[in-house]
Amino acid sequence: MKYFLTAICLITSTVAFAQNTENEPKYRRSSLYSLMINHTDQKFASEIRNSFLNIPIPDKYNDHDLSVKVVDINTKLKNASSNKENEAITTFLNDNQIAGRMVAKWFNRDKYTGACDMELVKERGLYNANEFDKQIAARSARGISMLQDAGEDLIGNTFVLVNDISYVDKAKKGMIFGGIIKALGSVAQAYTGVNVSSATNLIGDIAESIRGFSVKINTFLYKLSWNDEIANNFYETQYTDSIDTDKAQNFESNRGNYQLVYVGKVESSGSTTSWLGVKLDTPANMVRKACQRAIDENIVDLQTQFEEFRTKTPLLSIDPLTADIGMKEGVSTKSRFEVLDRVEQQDGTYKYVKVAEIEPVENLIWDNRYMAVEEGAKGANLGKTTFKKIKGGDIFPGMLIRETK
Amino acid sequence: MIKFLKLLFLLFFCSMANAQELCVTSNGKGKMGVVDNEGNEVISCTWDEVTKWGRVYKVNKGKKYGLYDSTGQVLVPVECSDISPLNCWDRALICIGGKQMKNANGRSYMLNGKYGIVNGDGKILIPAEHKGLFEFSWSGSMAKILTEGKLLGASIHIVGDTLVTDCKYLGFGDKTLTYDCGILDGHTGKILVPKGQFKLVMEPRDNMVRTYKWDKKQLTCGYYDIEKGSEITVSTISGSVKNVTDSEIKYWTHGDFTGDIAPVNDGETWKFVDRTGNTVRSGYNNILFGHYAKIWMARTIDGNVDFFDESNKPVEYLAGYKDILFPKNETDDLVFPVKNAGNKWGVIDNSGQLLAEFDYDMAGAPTLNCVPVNRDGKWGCLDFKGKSVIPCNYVDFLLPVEINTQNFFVKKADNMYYVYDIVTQSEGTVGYAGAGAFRGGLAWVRPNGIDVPDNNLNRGLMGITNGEFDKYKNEFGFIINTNDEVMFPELINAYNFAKASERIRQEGRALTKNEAKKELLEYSKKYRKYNLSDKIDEYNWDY
Repeated sequence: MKYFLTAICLITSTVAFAQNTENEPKYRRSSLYSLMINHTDQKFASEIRNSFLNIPIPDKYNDHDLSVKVVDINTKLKNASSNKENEAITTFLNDNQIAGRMVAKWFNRDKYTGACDMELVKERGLYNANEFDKQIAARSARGISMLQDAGEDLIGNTFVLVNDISYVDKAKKGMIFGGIIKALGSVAQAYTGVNVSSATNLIGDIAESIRGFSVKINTFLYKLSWNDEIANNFYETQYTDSIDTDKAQNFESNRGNYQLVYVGKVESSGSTTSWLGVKLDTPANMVRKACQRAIDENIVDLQTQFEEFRTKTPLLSIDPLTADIGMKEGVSTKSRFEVLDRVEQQDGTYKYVKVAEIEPVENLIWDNRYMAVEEGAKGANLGKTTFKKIKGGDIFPGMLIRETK
Repeated sequence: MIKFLKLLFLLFFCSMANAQELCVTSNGKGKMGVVDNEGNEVISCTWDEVTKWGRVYKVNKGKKYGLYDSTGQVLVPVECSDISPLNCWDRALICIGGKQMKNANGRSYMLNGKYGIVNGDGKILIPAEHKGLFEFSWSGSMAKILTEGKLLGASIHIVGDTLVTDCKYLGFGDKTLTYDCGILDGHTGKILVPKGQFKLVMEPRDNMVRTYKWDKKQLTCGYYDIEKGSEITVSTISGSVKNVTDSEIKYWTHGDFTGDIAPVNDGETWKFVDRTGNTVRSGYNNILFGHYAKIWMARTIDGNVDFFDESNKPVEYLAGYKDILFPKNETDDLVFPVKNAGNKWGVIDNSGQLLAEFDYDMAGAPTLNCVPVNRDGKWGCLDFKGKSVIPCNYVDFLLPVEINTQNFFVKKADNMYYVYDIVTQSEGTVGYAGAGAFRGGLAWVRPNGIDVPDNNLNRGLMGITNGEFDKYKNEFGFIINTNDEVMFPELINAYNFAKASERIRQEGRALTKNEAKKELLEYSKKYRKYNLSDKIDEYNWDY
């Protein structure tokens, strides 16, 4: 009977869950602003730049981008190889008051009037919007707790990634292939009656390097500094939901006081990305593939090294255990994940409690890396990764998983 | 109990994977198939890959592809070397045999494969028997001798590309790359024009196919009658032709049939032939066809004008007129500005009834319920009933871009554009140095004397990083509504009008400066340039 009732609950919850598969369960994510340093003195700088602009913030993070995404440099970035904080990058971030702008974005601050709102906080914090407004307006202890919770779990988990991307020139390997394309350009013209030689020559130029195309990316991670003192000062002296010239001016005067803290840095392997799946008359795909894979690789490395940067992912199903992550997030047969239950406290805040540990099932790891499908990679069509429980208690829908080191 | 749990497992997995009855599944050993809600295999789990394709399933083992229906029946045997994706007309290519090769651009195709056509139900419409199977997808405008119509896209089929037409007609031949084709009915597979007779055939029109044969010395122009199964030659022109774009003959040789007649050019004058090739009219130096009216206007060398329909019958109600302007859009009513013997323009309908008196010195082609007319050097506009909606008081006015628009821009003697409401017959009070026609109640305007800064943002909006900026300054303005109210309160270039308008409509109100600024930063993102050493000016930031 017990089994029967459990099964009924399971069916009910899974059917209900299944109906929501098109809309992934909502959960709190860290927020990310991703920038690129573009080496304009290098080959394919323009293609790399355009590819980067098309790479979205990974879906495991909230998009906290600002309007400047790419900055140029026409020399090598000094001390790029070092793991220490990079002076040129930190100077850029400080001079341009990036931290203050990211705070402004959290509160949807109108640049012209200084007016703010809490909509983004409510949306990303998954608060009950009406309840949140009520408690904040009443300045209740519960409301204060909610703001503290928002600060700690949301605003305090805001990061900046600065990707220093360099093209690795392995042209010699590709030259024979490119030579063939250029020679055949004139033959193609006879077939089509249309002059394709100029287009083909351009493709030939790119193809001379396409097979050897590779980028090296140094990714520097910074975290927004946000604590109770900073939060209180902001709410009391700078936050206004209407036009208040004093508070608006206070924020402008204090922009430079907000800080980003350097967390660490990783470097991509610089290995050649397979050109499989890339159509050579659209070489931009090859550039994007190489860049995106290297960035994804670096994000995984940063998550491995720095726990605060790790993301949580909801389970899509519990029987079997599946989640919407894969090789792009660094999942391998060696990965281990903790299963977390998000528990609402009495004061309206949330706490994550570990309930179990799981690991991926071999041969059922989704290859969701960029262009894995076009490449014909094994596991590219799985759509999700399947896990098995190693230890712990019951696992229920809606729980989150997070990779352990 | 175990059986019960298994049922639960499959129920859950199927509902998770696919909300419909069947679901694609894996047996956990790297093989895929399709099961139903009860876990029964519909398509066995023996395939390397199974995907939903149209309304059926595409399977493959190694490099062989096939199609199965939802009952597990084979629709297309798993012997195809390629099955293309379906296009929006529910058509796809299938290929049997051939060797996978790369073309000059490195893209894959099947050399010497045989092609056919299949639809989204997996029904084979054209069996895969043709080395050359092509759509009429290339424009005749690519070659002077062709000028109009569609010719075969006689090119290799790139693996992964879709077909681009509804395949109503298809060219078929013995070679992978050739215009030398016959024509099939793309729905039934019936041969309409046999192969091997012509160097080039155009897309059929009114059951007649424009044909070409050539060699080093001459070009033979003709037609093929699909119904009769016979060809006619209408002209033979001296001159060598290597291919359609490389020819000593530099003029349009003959046009497609419209109804019962077609125009033929002998190099000096135009004539018209019927479906037997007989000349039915000749001696014209200028011809014009109203595609929607289906009327020809042909002007003789001595200046007389004939009007006749597709059956070569004179259009009596146009007799005596000296000129005509045909409607521009398929949805336009059939009203015609015509010029009379007194060189005045009036407007008639397609029965010849006079809608507007012959009172005008000039006229414009009817478009979207607007007939431009000019009297004494001033322009105005009539509607399609002949009623004046803009009086002939203006230096110019902008043509509408949407039907039944209530608001136009008229240009007055001060050379400025003003909003004109045709319902209230009133002008706005604000003049603009430049304007674009209203769309959905919004228009881009350029006020006089605005200062357009040469900065990163504006250059980014124009997509220019280097070079002179001044010549682009007239591209910038604001967006207003029909009451001259500013709806987008930041300088924006006309190119981004559509995107910004969409945003305004989403909000249902004028954007704030902050909102407008963020839109501009998004539109210009690709082209704005900064250096790592820069302290970037505030106007470049959204927060």
